[in-house]
Amino acid sequence: MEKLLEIKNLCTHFDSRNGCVNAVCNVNMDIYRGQIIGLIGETGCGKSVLGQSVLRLLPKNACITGKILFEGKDILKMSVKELRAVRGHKIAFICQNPAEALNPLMKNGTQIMESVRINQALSKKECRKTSIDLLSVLGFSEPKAIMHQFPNELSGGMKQRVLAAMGMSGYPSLLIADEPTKGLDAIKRGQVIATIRKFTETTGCAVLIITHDLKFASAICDTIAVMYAGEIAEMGDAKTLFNDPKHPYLMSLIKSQPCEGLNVLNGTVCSLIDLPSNCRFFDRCSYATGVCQDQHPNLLTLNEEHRVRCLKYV
Amino acid sequence: MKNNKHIIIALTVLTAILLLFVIASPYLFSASYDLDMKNALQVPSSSHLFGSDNLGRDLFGRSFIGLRLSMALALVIQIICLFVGAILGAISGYYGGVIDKAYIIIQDVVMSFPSLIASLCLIAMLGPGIYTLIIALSCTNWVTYARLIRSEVVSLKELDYIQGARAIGASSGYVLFRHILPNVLRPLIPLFTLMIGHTVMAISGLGFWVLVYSRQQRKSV
Amino acid sequence: MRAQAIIKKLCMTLVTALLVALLCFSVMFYSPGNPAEKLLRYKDPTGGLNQKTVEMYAEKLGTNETFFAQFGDWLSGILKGDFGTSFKTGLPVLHEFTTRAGCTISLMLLSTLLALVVGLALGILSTLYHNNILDKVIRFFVVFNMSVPSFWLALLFLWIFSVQLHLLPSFGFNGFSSLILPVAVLGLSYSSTIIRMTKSCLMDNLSSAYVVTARAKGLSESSIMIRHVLINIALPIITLCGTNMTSLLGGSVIIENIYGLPGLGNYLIMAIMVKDFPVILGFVFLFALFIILINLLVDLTYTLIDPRVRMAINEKQ
Repeated sequence: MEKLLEIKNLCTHFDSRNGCVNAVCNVNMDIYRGQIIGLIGETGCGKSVLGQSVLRLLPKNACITGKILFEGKDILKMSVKELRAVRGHKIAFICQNPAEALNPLMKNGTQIMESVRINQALSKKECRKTSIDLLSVLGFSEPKAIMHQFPNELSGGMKQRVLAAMGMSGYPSLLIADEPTKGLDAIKRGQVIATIRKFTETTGCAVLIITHDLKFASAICDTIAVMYAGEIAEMGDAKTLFNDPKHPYLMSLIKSQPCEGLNVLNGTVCSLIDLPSNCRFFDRCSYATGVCQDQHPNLLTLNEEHRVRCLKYV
Repeated sequence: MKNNKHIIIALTVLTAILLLFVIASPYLFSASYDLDMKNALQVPSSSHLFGSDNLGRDLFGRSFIGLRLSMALALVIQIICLFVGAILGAISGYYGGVIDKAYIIIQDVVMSFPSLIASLCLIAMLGPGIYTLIIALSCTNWVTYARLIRSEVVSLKELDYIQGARAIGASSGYVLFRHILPNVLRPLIPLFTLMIGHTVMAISGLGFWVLVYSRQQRKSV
Repeated sequence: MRAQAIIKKLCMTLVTALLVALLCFSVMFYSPGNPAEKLLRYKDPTGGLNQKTVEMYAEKLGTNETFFAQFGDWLSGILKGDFGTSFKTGLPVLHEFTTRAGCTISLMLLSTLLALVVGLALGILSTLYHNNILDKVIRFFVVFNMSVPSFWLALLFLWIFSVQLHLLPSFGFNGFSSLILPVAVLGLSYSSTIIRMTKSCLMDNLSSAYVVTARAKGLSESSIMIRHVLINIALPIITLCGTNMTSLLGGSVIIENIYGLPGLGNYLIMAIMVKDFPVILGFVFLFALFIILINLLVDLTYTLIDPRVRMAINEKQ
């Protein structure tokens, strides 16, 4: 398969009043064409920051280093104009908070048509038609009415789908969806899975899904990366990862699911400001040994498809 | 915590300076009561930083003594306004219904008058004097606080922790004073300081008009 | 918004106006001083007060009647366009108002416009160059502007542009050129709150999720600002302009006085000082009506721009 996006040694840190917050540290990741890749981890582990770093959508106090090669070109070195040509057109991004991600004072139709128009040279009428088509693909029974309504008249799930329509409007080759199932019930979640599947099959688009919903991730993703405290803890094929988790963190994540008995993982994530020099999971790990206290583990390649950051497997 | 320390130091220093001037100005600038007709209406110089007035009194010292009175008056007026505004705003916002509707009409009526002119009208009707000044400015200024407090209370009372307090059986008075009012304080403090400045300006404006026109009248009669 | 809601709003406005009229009238009614005596003094300044003539004038003014009869008379007069006659000049109050309204209203509108333009421009600049030198200069300007009383600025401008440079007239009202200095003073002093409001709203909006969505679409920063953000910051700024306009109505008096402009506020204050009852009553009521109108316009703009406000109103119905 052809490599679409190559993330090399990506580090993102924020300058804050309390010190430098290292949200993402040394992440390496490849995304191939047509692949659905999941990024999972608990709140504050840096997964959303990683997603936003790819399109340089972070606020000004964020500092991104490393390389993000998209079709061979480094996004971090692109000019504003080149970047704008990539945004929406080649890489689309769906925000995680549907309630606030739409402009409250603009009609839904205007907002969707806006993104259609940027990406395709169409007349206003054609834009409207394309937007309506997109909405009906996403399961709206009355797309024309939705176009005339304002975001405050829609439910959370509907807003999510309007955002998805905007993301898909440019037929991008990579779609980054930040928490696409947040606040949705089981049936709606099923619909989202079906829509994403259908979209990748018809357009050959790769999807990066950022979520903390393990069930959802295992159902939809080909490859999964688990993040912990800004680092990738484990990465590999979705099935292998869930059947045979290697990293103690992923093991406890799986055990903490309701269907596995809700075993709570004690302790809290280490501070991203004063990072420990040893293993970042040390304090909470039940397999920790003396080595773990002194050394910071590197990402080990177990086999072609499976990598883990744990000293247990050295 | 580090920031808090800086804020406390800054606050202490500023309050100390203010207090020093407010309390000590009559003693510091006692000479500014002295008449000195030879040096009347002087331009600013090293002996009179702000110059001197038509009776030769030092304007720098007199400004501070005047500031003392203006500040004290502004403080009294704003505290009265704050109390009236807080009570009316909190009650109407918290209880809603007919009380709120009646309050809204009163608020609309009071806000329909330009405050400086309304105060001046009241002073003219009640006769000049410090107490009328306090009454007049309080009558026109309380609504600023009431409006802010009402809108804050309306949005706060829907919040979950207020509902939670009610659910465990807290009385409305307890909820209002213990849970809602402390949260209203945050936007209230900057407004209070801003309004003190406004009131000092309003007092000086009113003083100016009363002075100018009473003189004109005296001349014309 | 439904027609019903608009009608309800208009009814409420009418009730407010009526209550304002009642309040104005009762303050005037219960204030010390006999209007008939006042009028007599103006008619015949040299003669002493004669009980008979006072009663005659009282009869003529209708001040012997009950409160509500007088209030009804006054109100029905207003509906016919008759606000009474000034004691001092003997001219109709409405005539006194309209001859001065042009000056004050143009002063008010022009200064609000200037404050809006300066405020928006500097607010946007200081947001775009946040924490740069330009932002710091603008912040200094705001603090300076807020702490300097406008009459000081007025005197300074007078000294620079009229006394030193002889560019602009210093006194009186003849044409646009005499409005330049007062408009500049008022516009600048009212711009600082707009700069602050613009900046804080812009900072909030620019970090909000919908702007991230717009950026992710590939929109340029300028079109995000123009198409998405400006409409979102419009509401608080319109409200601020409304309050500025109402406070300019009374607050421009000092500036009018310094530049010798024949404005409404100046005349009203003089009337208050000499207790010219019909003028005070008429002017204060007209001022209040004007403010009510501005507030109504601001409210309607809100419902026009913001669908959330519209929805809340429709749900209440």
